[in-house]
Amino acid sequence: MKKIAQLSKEEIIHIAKLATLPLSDKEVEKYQKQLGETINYVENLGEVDTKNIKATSSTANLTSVYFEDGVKSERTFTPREALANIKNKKDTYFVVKRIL
Amino acid sequence: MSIFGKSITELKTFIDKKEISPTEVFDYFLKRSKKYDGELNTYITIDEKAVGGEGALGGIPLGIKDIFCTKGLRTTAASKVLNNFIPQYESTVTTRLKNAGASVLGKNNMDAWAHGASTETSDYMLTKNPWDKTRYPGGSSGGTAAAVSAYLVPGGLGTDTGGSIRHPAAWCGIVGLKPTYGRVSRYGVIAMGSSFDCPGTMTLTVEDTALLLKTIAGPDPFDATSSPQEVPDYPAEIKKKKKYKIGIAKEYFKGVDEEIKNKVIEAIAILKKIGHEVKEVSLLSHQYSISIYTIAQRAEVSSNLARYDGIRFGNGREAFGEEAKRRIMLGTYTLSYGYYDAFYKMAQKVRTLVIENFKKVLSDVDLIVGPNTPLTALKIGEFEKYPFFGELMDQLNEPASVAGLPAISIPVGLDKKNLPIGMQIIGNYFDESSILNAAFQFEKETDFFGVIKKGIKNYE
Repeated sequence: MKKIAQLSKEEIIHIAKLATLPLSDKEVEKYQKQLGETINYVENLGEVDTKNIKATSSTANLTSVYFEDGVKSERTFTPREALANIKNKKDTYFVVKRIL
Repeated sequence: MSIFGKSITELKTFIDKKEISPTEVFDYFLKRSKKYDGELNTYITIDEKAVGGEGALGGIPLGIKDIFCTKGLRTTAASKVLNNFIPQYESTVTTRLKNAGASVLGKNNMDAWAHGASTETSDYMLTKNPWDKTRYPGGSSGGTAAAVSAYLVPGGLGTDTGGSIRHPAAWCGIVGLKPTYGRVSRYGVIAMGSSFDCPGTMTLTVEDTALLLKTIAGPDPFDATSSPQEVPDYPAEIKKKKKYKIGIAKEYFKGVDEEIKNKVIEAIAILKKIGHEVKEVSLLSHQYSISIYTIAQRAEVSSNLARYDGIRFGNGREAFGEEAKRRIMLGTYTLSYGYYDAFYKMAQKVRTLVIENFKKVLSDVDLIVGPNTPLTALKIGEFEKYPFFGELMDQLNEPASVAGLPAISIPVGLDKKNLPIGMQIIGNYFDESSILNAAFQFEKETDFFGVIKKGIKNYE
């Protein structure tokens, strides 16, 4: 595993932006320290020889799982159900922040 | 006839013989739940009208971790993000329980989003360990574990991603089973680490575990990772006379408290005495599994929690608590450009080696037995003393989670502080039958040294 240097404050702010997480300055500082500690911990994986080892994608050992053809309505929400938990709606629409 | 202390299987017999009615049973547990929940904090929501119907579990009320979507009944995952969330559909597992006549008496407290091993990351309350109210119940399914241990319900469901059923089961002195990954459907379970998450059972007896597992297991068209493997008749399987070859890995005794070590060694001697063959095996250090788990699980958390944007349901991302934020941050980092190969892919490669190692060992032995937790229940506040707390407490549970193997925790005694000690039995893929059979033999021989009965007795 390549050696990772301590995370910078800028990196933490960048990650928070990627994750859309609002962080306070204090939190940025805290996570900078804690993420660095965790990353140091997992470095033991570098001791393992993984040349020619395939990465696991699932432990279920299933391949090509398909739904049967045909329309099924049992899992379809009615508009009322779809909007049952919404805080901000207009008629039967979700209201979102404008992006343009 | 007294209901107190009866197992699900026993209650079912009384209900079938019409000695008690489902309503009497429900009212009994509702009353107990209300009486003791003030001091134990095991429920986020209680449903007072949830009397069960007819069927294999007809009239049995259960405590369900608040991570299973229940139609029309608030489901929070113990996070303020979902404070007012009313699911519009039911999880497959709770559907199956209700179809069998069981009812959901309440939704149990847990670590928020199932992140933790103490139940204290809940945004709602701190669940107390019924054995000592100054201590943690363990987690993340700590609310269900405490409720079952104090007999507020005769059994319940949790989820286990890296030990979240087995760990609190050990700390609260009950039986907790994490089935094989894919044995039980994840549909309608609020997702945490999707390649690890396993719904499972928390009960007072192995027979009850067998009964509940039989009800909830089996393929589900709504979960593409649920396995088409046939589901055995577990209550019948556990009664077959079987002798097993049991592996003991010395790696799993490293860093474990002496009292726990000794009790587990005594329990292994009992397994030998009742006719099982015991031999030493060697497993990869659990340190690797902790690292794999830390990377892969955080990555899956960051992806799963990305859907909570407050637009269609729930509150916005500012409502996430500290632990969830920490995990999202780490997961986002390890999946971000330039780091994916170094972390995520590397972890999944070592995961392959852990799986191969288990497969090799389990081609020689039927079961692997060892301690379930390195320590017994810690005092509330001691979390702070252990950086990396969750991972350390789950170090003996995470290997089976990483490999997707089934494992159970059963009580094997008490330590000097009068706290329960759990022993873990890991089995081969989809071989819950052997785990339950061996655990049942152990229960018949020892009655778990009276631990479960003693736990209930504290709340008579």
